Amino acid sequence: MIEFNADYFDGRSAARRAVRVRASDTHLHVSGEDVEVAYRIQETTVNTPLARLQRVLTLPDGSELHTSDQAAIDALFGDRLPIATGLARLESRWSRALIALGAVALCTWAFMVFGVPLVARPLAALVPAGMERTVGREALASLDGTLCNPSTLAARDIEHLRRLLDRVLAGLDEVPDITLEARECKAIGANALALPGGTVIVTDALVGLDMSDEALSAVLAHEVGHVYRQHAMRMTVQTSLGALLIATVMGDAAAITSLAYTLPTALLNSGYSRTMEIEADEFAYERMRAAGLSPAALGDALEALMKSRTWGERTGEEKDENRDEKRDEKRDGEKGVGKANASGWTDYLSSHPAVEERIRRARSGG
Amino acid sequence: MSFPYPDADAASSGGVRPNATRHTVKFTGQGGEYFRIWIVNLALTIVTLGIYSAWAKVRRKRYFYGNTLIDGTPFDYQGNPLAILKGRIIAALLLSAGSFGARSSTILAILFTVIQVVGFPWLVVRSLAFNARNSAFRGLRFRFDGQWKTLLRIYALWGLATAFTLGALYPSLKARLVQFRMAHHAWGATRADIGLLSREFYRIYLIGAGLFAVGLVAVGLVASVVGVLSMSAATVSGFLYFFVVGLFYLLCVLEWAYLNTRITNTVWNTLELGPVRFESRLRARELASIYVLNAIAVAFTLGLAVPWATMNVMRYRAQSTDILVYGGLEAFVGVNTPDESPTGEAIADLLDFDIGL
Repeated sequence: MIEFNADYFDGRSAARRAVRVRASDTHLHVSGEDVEVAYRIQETTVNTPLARLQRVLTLPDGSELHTSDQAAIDALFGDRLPIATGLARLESRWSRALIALGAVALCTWAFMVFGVPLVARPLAALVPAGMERTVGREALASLDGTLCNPSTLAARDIEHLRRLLDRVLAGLDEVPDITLEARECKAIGANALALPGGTVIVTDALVGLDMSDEALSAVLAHEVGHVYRQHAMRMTVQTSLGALLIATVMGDAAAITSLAYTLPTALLNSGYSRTMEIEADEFAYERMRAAGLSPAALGDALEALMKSRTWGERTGEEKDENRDEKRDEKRDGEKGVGKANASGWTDYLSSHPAVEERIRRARSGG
Repeated sequence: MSFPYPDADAASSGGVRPNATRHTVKFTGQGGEYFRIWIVNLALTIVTLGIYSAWAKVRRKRYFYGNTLIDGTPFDYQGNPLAILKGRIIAALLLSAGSFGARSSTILAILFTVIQVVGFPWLVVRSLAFNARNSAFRGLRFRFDGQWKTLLRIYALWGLATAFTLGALYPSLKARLVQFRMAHHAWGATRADIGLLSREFYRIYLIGAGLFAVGLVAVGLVASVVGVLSMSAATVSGFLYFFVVGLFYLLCVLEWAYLNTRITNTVWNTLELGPVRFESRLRARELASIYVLNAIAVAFTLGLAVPWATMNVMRYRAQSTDILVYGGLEAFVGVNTPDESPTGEAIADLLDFDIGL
């Protein structure tokens, strides 16, 4: 016979009575101070097990028995609740919790790496062109206010760049509206940036590297690739989706901190931008070939840029400025992501050994 | 006030005051145990594409309730996951219908906006009623009998007044919302009662605004001092940026903690439930430090510390609250006939929407 101690509440008052419950085949016999009743087991309902929580038996007349004697309740009602019992067992062991953790990590990873980029592409395409241009304009304005000054290049040089750009654009269907801007941006050195909406910025220092026209064309084609594939907008969408997912995963703790998703998102962004660089490279190869130029020139350009960074005079100071910029991105959303992509070359060359790999690929014909 | 116990009547009428029994709320949740529930909830929610989230919510709430004890007796949450799932599906359908309709025609867009404005108080009231009805303590359920029209009137009147005064009347709005939520709750047959809150709320928000202003000036001063000191070295600029942003975040957390603790304390210290009084002693500095430590832990564990962080906050909130009982808890009674208003209760049980005030 199963017996257990319980607290008895009659459902009419809050009085608590300590009772002893004895279970016969058909009935629960409750006895204690002022109580002496029996209830049919069949008409009794029980809550599902959860951790060390008290089990609550609801009796036919609305009264309740609360008990911590899990074993007795499992013996009495366990076969009624097969799923719930299994669930509680799942939650009770660390080994199973770790399997759940693995599943969560795997699903999150798969969604972030495959799902998000897949969804981001059509979503980015939905963003109206006007909005993209506005974001780009704002990004340019904020660059002009901080990192960049008007270019000191001769009008002739800029005109030359425009001709090179036109050549790689020739024959492209649905030519995006590309505007070329030259700026003197000491902080980011020899660099080219693509802003959302189609503005490509070339820094004076990049022209100062004296690259061949072919290499310059490759750099421009790469930037056009970013514009053409809407990388800035996709980055924005991906970051938001990622943050949304992490917020969901955090669930009840969303209130605790937004800091929690800064770190994972930052880690993911570097992965996304790597994929985007490769996409832009591939776009450049194709454009180069279409214009009758050699894709290998992109390799020369990358190498020249890398050297300008390794042996140039720009040292610690410049790196700090870059880091400032990265922080800006995180702070001000859309505009910042524009910049995130904008700083692509610099980021890439300074922090990714994959550049060597990209140079090799370009040299082997793209 | 009406409750049928002589002791309690004496307490409120200023007669011979019986000695109060004091119970501190106890929270017995454990981080590791809750982690396992949390991670299983998460995994099953993902695997079932969100359907399990209703069950997850019930398990989470049951864990919180069941580990909150007064005088050795835990609370009990009895929400039915299916009702929650239904509520979520309906809410999702309404939302998507709204956004589709808004895109297809202006009239539909206006219609859906009206439905949402009127529907919001209704959803809040339903949600509160569901939650109350499914919360029990010592075998007696809670009840919530606020009307959605009352809530709509508060939103319309005080919400607009707040908007037109650029937020100056916000304490009034907040006070009325809290009064609406608290005063319409009952445990068994005993209704809660709460005095006027606006005056105290104005005081809290005014002091809060003042402290924030002082804090901003202080952060600005520190920033400029550090800035001048480090003028020569451009490399320091990154550090300065971090430092100032960090200080600003800290100020925001402190401000939030100040408002949250003072408001919570005021509300609980004003609330009366028959012969029961409450004493809430939350302290802004302690709550803020718990939040900052939690935030750091959560960030550095990629979110895995969330269950421990949640337990820390709940434990602190529980141990800062006392219950004073004049007479005994035994004296509380339930509603005489359980099915007094079957329709109302049935509706409350039918759907749950996760919306708070």
